[in-house]
Amino acid sequence: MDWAKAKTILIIALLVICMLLGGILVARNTRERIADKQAAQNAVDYLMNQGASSICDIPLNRPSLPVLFIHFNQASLNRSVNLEEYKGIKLVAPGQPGYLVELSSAGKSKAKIITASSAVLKAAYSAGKYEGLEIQSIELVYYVDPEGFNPQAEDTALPCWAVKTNYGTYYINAYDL
Amino acid sequence: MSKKTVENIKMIIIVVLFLATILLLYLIWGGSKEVKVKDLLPAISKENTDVEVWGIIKPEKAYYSAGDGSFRSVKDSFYTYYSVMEKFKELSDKSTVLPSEISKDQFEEAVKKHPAIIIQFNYAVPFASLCEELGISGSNAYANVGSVDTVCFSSVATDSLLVFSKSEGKYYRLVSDSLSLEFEEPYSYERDYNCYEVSQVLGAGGDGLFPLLTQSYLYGGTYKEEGIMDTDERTEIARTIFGDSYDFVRRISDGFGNNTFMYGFGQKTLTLGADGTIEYKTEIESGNSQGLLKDLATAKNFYLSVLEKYLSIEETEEDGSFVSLKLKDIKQSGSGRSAAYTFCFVMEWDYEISSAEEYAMEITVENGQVSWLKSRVIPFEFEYDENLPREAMDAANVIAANSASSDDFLKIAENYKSMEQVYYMKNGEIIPVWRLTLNDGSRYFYNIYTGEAVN
Repeated sequence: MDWAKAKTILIIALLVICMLLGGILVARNTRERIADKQAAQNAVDYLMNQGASSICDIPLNRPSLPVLFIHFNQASLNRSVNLEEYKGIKLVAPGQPGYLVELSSAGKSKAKIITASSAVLKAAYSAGKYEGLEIQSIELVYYVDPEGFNPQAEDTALPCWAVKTNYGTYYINAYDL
Repeated sequence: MSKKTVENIKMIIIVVLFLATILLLYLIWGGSKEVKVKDLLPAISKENTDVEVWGIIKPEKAYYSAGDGSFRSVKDSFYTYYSVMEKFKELSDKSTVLPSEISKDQFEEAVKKHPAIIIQFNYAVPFASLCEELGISGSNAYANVGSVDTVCFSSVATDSLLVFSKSEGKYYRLVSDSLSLEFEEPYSYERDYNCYEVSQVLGAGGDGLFPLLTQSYLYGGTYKEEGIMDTDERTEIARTIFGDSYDFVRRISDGFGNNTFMYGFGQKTLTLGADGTIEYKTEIESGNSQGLLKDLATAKNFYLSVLEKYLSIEETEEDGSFVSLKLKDIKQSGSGRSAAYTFCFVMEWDYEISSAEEYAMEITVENGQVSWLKSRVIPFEFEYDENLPREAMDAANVIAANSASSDDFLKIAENYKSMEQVYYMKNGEIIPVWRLTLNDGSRYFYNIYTGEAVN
């Protein structure tokens, strides 16, 4: 058997497979990006038609993220703190004045989050009125729900889209609900 | 470049390309998962086709009426109920059985003035569905009978089954057109005892049956709670509830052994208490009730999936380590397809086990889906004293001794619902007690030997 020739054929076959899979991956990502962009535009059009007055740029990033396990430490300053970050994403913990939020560990599994455009629509729905709505900023954060806050407890921060509007800030769970 | 070097380079390229292929396949198929709330739903199968429910529908009491105003409480009420339904199955299978409404007087004549077997449920059971569940033919014909609380087989009408629907206040006779069966006394059991109507014993009250029993077969002893849910068991329970999405739920551990798992901002919440309690609640989807028995099957399927992670729900075990659940009550809100049922269970050994909490487990099924569960069922080891039977304090004397005045005594008699021997769990002790239940639902527990109130 001519092993040299067999290896060459195997290399060519693997190269073709890699190019094919790479092509599929690129095509899929491109398609998703176009779809997300289109969804963002649709969300803007819809809200403007409903009477919204201004909408900031809608982010298109949609990473896969784990949950974060956190704990609380008594802070010397009597204020809410946002000191921790995870891979550049801020940890937000409103409603726990006087406590520092500290990261314990990240969850083992990651899940793809929802688009910012879906979050904007959910926030607008939560606001209850579209007329005069201003979407001032949209930011991906890790959010510690103040409901059930217990300073002694180990808690969990979930990825959320923080949508700041002139009617208030809405934290929309970034896992698909 | 030598041929050997070229071949080595080819090998390296093959390895690199192979690894790249695996990486690309991983990115395409398994790179990340999306979490959708609907993924949570199959975590516990909604299918309830394999779950039998007729064995859960157990009567509260079975009596043999001697026909002279005396009654014998039959210890094995489930077997007695089963025997009566077997007779009815024979009637239905071999002849045409049709229901007809009868008067209260006719019903009472048949079950009080003639030997009869009386089966009493603590809740209303939809008769046609029960017959269907038991494989009794012609169940469609019983649709008008509705839900029944009492089922009787009388020696004066061995071609019939007599039923009473408390909620509708109606009595029915389901009579065969051509067949009569033999009437047999229920299997006599050493723990059976006699009862009379409360008015005959206490001098006041309705037709509730009052026990004349001066012996107790209940064990006294101590119990020890056994390892209430370790970390792995807690994780297993949460994984059962949340399925693949378990990794993406909010988890709160308070340092005292209490754990809360929450999907989203409270759409689905599971709380596991340090004391072994479990509470689960979820927002439900639109849907319809499948009827009481099918919703009961859904409830059973759910609680078995959850509780089996840390205890076995089996029949009585000889070694004293056990948990057996008995369906004690069914609360209904709404009706028809929008009905919601809360099924209430108590723990049971050879007798029912009571505690300050009325139920050991409650589970609500709405729109055909489990929306709430609260369980206080805990595994425990019971060390008991076997010197049986023992002399028990007479039930009438217990009430008299605990009544502040004769007026108080009469008031109890007038509101009397039942007096039973049960176990009572309190501070590590299992105490045999008389449980007095009044018509308003209030319950009182008295030590079976001393008559002292224990709650």
